[in-house]
Amino acid sequence: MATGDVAKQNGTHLEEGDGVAVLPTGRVSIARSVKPHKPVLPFSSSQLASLDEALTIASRSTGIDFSIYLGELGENTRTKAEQLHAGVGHRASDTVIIAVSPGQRVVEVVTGEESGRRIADRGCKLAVMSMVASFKEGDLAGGLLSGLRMLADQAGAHH
Amino acid sequence: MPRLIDGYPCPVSIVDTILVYVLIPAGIYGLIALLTLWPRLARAPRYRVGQEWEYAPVWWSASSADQHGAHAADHSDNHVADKADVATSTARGGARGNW
Repeated sequence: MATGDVAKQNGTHLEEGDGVAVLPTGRVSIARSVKPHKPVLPFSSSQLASLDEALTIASRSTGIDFSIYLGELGENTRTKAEQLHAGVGHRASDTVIIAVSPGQRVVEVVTGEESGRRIADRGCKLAVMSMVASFKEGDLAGGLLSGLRMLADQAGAHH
Repeated sequence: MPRLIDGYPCPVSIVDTILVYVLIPAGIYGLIALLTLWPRLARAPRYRVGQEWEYAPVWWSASSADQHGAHAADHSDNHVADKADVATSTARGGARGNW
């Protein structure tokens, strides 16, 4: 139930005493313990900051939109990564997506028309190998950083 | 008049002895152990290879022109799938790898 929704009393399963109080107006006030959220990602804030900086610098210096997807890629990882690429819209030609699924231990790099011209498949493969080397050690943030930097180096400066 | 043991005065009781020789060293050991282990205990859990990835998908992008990529990917999942059916594939190359 979302915050602010009106709770409907069904039956008398609400017992007073465990944080439940029926107000004189009939409104039921329930105290619930707040469970701490799980961390959003297993990255420290400094790792997140350096990733953010690397993404910004790579995109700004090359003129290519680098983006990183981190999550499940489904059964057909390549198709899903290409769908993500297609979903970018009119900037897809200039976009490079680094899609990593740590649960499946798969990394996919997808380039578009213009970005593929700037970064050859061979360069992508090199970046993937560098990333995989770090991922093998469990260093996700480090792998993403080095992969991003290698792809940006491959693309060269913005012209 | 202090208590006599074997004819000598014994102003230090058993409790005092335990306090000085057991509790204080134990306290110091505990403090040092805490200081040593604290960074490890306080650190956020780190991901290790082979663990389940039970975090929500994220999609980071640096482009400010199109904010689509900046949103959490659970929105874009359906969205992207719909779009991809209509749009032709935009992928022209790339590479893949696993570990």
